[in-house]
Amino acid sequence: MERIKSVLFKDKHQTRLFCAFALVLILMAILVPDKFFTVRNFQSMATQFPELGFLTIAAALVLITGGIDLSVCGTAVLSGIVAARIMDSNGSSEAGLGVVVGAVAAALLVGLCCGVLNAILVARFGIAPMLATLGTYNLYVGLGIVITEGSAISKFPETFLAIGNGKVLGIPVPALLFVLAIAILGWFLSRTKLGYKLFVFGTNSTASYYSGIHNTKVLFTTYVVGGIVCSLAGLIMFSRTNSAKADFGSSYGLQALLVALLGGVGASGGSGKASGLLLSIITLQFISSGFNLLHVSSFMKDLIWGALLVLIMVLNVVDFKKLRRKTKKAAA
Amino acid sequence: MGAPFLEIRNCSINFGGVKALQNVDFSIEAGQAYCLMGENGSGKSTLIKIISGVYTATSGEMILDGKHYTNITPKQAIEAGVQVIYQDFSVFPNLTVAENIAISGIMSGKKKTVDRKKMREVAAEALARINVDLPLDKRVEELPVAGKQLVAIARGIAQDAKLIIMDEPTTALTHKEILALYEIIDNLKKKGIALIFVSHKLEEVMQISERIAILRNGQKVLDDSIENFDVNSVAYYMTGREVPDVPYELVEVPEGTAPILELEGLTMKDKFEDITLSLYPKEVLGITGQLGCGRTELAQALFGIGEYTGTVKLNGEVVEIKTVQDALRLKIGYVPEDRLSEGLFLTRSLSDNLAAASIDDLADGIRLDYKKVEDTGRQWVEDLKIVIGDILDPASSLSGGNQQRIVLAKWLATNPRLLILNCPTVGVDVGSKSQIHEIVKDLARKGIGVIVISDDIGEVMSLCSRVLVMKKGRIVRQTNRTEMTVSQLEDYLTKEE
Repeated sequence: MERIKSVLFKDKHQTRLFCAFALVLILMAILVPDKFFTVRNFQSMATQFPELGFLTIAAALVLITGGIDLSVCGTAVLSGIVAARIMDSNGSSEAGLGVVVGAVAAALLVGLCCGVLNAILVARFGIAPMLATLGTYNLYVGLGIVITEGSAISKFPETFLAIGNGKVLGIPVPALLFVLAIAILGWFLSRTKLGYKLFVFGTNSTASYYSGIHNTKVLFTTYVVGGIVCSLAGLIMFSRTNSAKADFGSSYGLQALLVALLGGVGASGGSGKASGLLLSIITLQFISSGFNLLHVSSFMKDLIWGALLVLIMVLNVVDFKKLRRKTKKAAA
Repeated sequence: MGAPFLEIRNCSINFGGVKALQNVDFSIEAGQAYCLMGENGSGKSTLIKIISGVYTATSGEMILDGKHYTNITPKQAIEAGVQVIYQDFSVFPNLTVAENIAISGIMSGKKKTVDRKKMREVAAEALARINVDLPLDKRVEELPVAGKQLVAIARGIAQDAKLIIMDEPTTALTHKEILALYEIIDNLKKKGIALIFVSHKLEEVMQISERIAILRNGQKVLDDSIENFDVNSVAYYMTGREVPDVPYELVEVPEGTAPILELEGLTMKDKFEDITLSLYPKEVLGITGQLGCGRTELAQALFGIGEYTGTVKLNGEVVEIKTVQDALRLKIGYVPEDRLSEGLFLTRSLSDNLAAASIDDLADGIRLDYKKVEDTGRQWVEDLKIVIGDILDPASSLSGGNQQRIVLAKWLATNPRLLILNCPTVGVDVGSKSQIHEIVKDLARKGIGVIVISDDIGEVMSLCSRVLVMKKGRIVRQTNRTEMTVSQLEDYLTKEE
């Protein structure tokens, strides 16, 4: 109990997030208990959120370095399209397992390359991450449009569709993959040397340089891992919808950033937790599914997400100011 | 001697449960210069903030220019003639000298338009009153540090300052600029302006002040005229205990001893040239020289920052130091000049800070055990007697002296054979300074090669066995501590070529 308490209340942000999560659950229990708390609803939610979840992980990693990655969605789309093209030209829906494995591997490789390009621009040329990744976002999406010639590629083999639509013991595969990824992220951030370096670099890159930490290496690893994670999102997206299109999920990129910030990743770098990301993405999914069940127009979804995100940011800033005033007084 | 310009009676202020000031009396007359000393957290800045109206005292009263106040606002304080010049001078770098000096007049006036001609007149007059010549149309960011300070002083003068409070006025100045500042201060005094200096540096205090007040733990422990004051007792008053200032013992280097470090003809384009030196075991080598003489670049070159030509030998072996990682592998450590931006991760825990340079040794493959990081950190805190709350508190929670020891410990954790310290005691109070000196001496005794770069001639002469003087990128003089006195070395440094 003590432990749970300390986990929940040590970090104010996490506490607030948890309250929001609980509030949403209670609201659903009052308003639509018979429809919300069903296996079907949970299965459908668990299929929907992982793609944004993966993009959130990638966005969060770069945010922790003190940078920002606007190209996550571009990377996802481009890698997914490369996989789609490979399957399309090798038998389409009749393609064999070998082709699917090759396509998935190619997608991961594309994700890796996108990450490398981002890293080169940021770490080698010293371009501001926001500008570099805004450029590469357009580059990646543009490449996707060229490859698809602007139209959608569809009809994938069953084996590929299983990634986005399959279930193991009743649990959708994307959700399983996402939980696994969050667990790895949690371990990475709190139990590994590289996780430590990532945080330290994000807090003060000058001091980490003067401490003998290889800043360039840290940046490269982050962007490359981020790129691979994005390509997973791309595969899940296109597998779930059985269609690959270059303009798919174009609002995902910015949403991923917001979900990461909502999950407690600091915009100035050096802070963030895997548990916060999980909580924030699930809360948002609950809200959007809940509204669906309540027959609130789907046009409202973005509006409500946006309002919630802005609210949480405001709370964060207000809290911050109080803290600052206190430390100022203590220092004097 | 008339009535005091400022008088504070029985002033106390509490922050939560902390008594930041207790029953402090203080008074200053027109044309007088006061030095206010005390360790970090002794209440100096609090007192200044009460005078300038930023804080309201919990009890006590203040009489400013004959008027009684119980809670003065910053605006009232400025109108009464109180001007505070902070360490960063609070100038607008993107505005011109004239704009900076005249800005308060512009901002507080009723007019919505700016009269450029009037502005220049105001600025020129203020500069004339302190006998300084600065280009009115130059942007302030293009001025050297000393110039920015002059702009800040002139801005105070333009607002009819009657009491100027300066926080650490000489920290960033070269010796020559300090001398120029003294002259201006003398001038201000003659014009009847009262001055309060907050300072850590004893020598300057003695030269410019008539009186000295020392605070400790929120109480005034000394208030006397400079003539009656014994320099050697400062440390005692500030810390409440005797602080030893024992010079580092001179060691005879036996004939044929192999040096730890040898440099031959080390050159970095436009930074330093043809540096040849050697460092023997049990020696502390001091390097001094004015800002921009190449001392920092030399230290950084040995730490893998910047490209150099020439040879570096470590324990007799020629080594290439191209990156910081090379330096780390060769067991060279560097405590940088600016601990806040280059040394510390202010928002991270102390244990994270302590582990930063030795993280590869602490980790087990790719795994890192934070428990081990914390335990190792606690050990260092104990070894160096660093005063902390909890090992998981952020580095920003510590005082300057303790922060500096954290940076030092970060490097000691790498088990270095050569440690370069760049201005290790800047902004550190007397007590911590002597503790840092003791740590450095101990390292040298253990056989770690130590190079100390410092502006503080007193420090160099007490801590180092040998001192090298750099000017314009070259070593111009090498001296043993016994060959020169502190003031001789100071004169040598400021002498024009």
